[in-house]
Amino acid sequence: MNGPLYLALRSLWWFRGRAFTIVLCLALTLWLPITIRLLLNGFRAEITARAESTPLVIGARGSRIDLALNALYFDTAPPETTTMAEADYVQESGFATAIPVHVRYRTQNVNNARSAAIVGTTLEYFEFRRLGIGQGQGLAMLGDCVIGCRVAEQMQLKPGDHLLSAPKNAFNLAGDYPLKMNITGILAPSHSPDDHVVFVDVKTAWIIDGIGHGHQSLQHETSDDGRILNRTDDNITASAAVLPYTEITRENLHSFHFHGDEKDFPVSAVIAVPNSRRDQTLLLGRYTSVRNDRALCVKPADVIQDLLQIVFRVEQIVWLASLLATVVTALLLTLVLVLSVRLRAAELQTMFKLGCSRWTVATLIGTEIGLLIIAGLTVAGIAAWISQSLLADRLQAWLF
Amino acid sequence: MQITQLKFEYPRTGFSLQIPDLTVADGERVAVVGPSGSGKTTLLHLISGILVPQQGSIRIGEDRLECLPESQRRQLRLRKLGLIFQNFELIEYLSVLDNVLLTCRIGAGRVTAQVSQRSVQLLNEVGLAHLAHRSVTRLSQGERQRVAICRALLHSPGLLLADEPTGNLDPTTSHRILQLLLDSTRQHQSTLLMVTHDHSLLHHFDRTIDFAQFLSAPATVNGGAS
Repeated sequence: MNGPLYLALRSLWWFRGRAFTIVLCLALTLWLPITIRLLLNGFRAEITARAESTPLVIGARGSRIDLALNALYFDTAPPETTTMAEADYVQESGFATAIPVHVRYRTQNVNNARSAAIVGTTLEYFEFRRLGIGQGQGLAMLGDCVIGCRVAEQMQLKPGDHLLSAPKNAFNLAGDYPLKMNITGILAPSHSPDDHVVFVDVKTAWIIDGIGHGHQSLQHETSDDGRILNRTDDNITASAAVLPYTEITRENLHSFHFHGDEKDFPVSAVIAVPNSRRDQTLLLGRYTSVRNDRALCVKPADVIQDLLQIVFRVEQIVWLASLLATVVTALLLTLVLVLSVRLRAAELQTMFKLGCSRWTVATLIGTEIGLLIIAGLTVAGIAAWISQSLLADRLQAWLF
Repeated sequence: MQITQLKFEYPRTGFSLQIPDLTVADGERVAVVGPSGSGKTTLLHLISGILVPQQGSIRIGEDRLECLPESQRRQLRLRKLGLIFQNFELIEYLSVLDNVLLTCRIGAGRVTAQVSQRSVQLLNEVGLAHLAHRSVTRLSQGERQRVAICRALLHSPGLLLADEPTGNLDPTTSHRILQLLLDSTRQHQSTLLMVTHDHSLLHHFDRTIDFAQFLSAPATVNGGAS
């Protein structure tokens, strides 16, 4: 080991209290901007990748951001719903494959884990996102659900277990009932928001929504116990005493039915996967002209770019604050180092008298400062990396 | 070591030192005495090349100091001279052994196994080998000065310059340190030029240079009273 480095290390070890304080100050000053940069870079990359992999999203007119974020991340406040008519329109246009997404309900809390969003969709969604089944199997019948790997981990669930949906309003007796869903599979990890939600068929989502239901048959009911309010040749009006089934089984599956026309059923968004760039342009053109009054069609990548502009501005403010803090810390540390060198003037004078060159003295001081900066940067880097690992998921959950 | 027509003046204070002629033979042990402020330490700084005279010549062996650039004067201090200071001037964050090896760390060469072995040998000679890895802050005054002597002797210097090395020590320790210095210089065949205020030590030296005579009028001190 060369002389100045050896002496610098011995000096730092001897004055370790001071060195530790300086390293800590440096690390704390650098940690925040590095962490923010790492988090925002990760956030930007993740959000951009998901947005760019989703060509078009169609939904009710309103907030572009709410619509895009709900279709991409499921966890934001649900936008105004559109109807299946939009999905049918897109499909029938021949420009794109329509994938309905209905996100209004959440599961109930299980094992102290936070509830997960229930996403009603079709099998095309799994193909579109390239989601594979890690355990168990996919959706087979009404009432089945497959859960994201993080949901399975947090709620400690496995295929064969059940999961209850949470009613929107527990005090509304005429409202939606919780549905007991049968977990048929767990998705393989995709490191995306799909890991954090529960997937059901869109028809199951409508049943949770109260649009479809199943109950005992009243066709051959003859007893007069108040369950039938009115009976005509082609219609039976039942009372509230007829309770709907809260679980869909092979035995009661046939009794489930929907009232109304499917094209009027709600979906929170329709993901359109165009066949080509030309078809995408044409479809987008239709939604900005002839269908403009009915629905909103957005390119998630554009919406996210707009959103990132806001994030970028916030980042700039944080950077400016961090820069000021760094400058102040640097000035204070310079003062500490200058005073420290003054305190060591006798030592440096001794070295000079013994034959040490000014260059060697400068190298010794420079090496000490360099080692402190390297240590500070290393600690800040490690702390930032750990923070990023711990906070990335939380930040995403907090933002969406 | 030979000084001829030396003149040095501190620009700020105006203090002036003039030594017409001074010669110290190889292996000689010379004490330098004189009142405070008479220029004894300045003389040592001039001989070691820390200061450069405005006039005159200082010759150490074949080297004429006033002709050497600063880098060579530094190398001279590191390799051919041994310096001992009144306050020991040890580096507090280094161990005893590292203090002895300090000149190697700051430019006198690499710390080879041979050099390390020599430093341990020197510490052994002064009875401090068992404290080689101890911090110098935990040593007594006498032990610290012995470490400083080992540091000065590491490169077997031809000329040992000691600036009141016993100034801060009690009489018993002073005599022990002086004896150590004299023994070491004899053993290593070095020349010793030692500044001291303690007149009870003068009989140990071959001769004494009294700086009082420089204050009244510049004079030749070669072969001064002992």
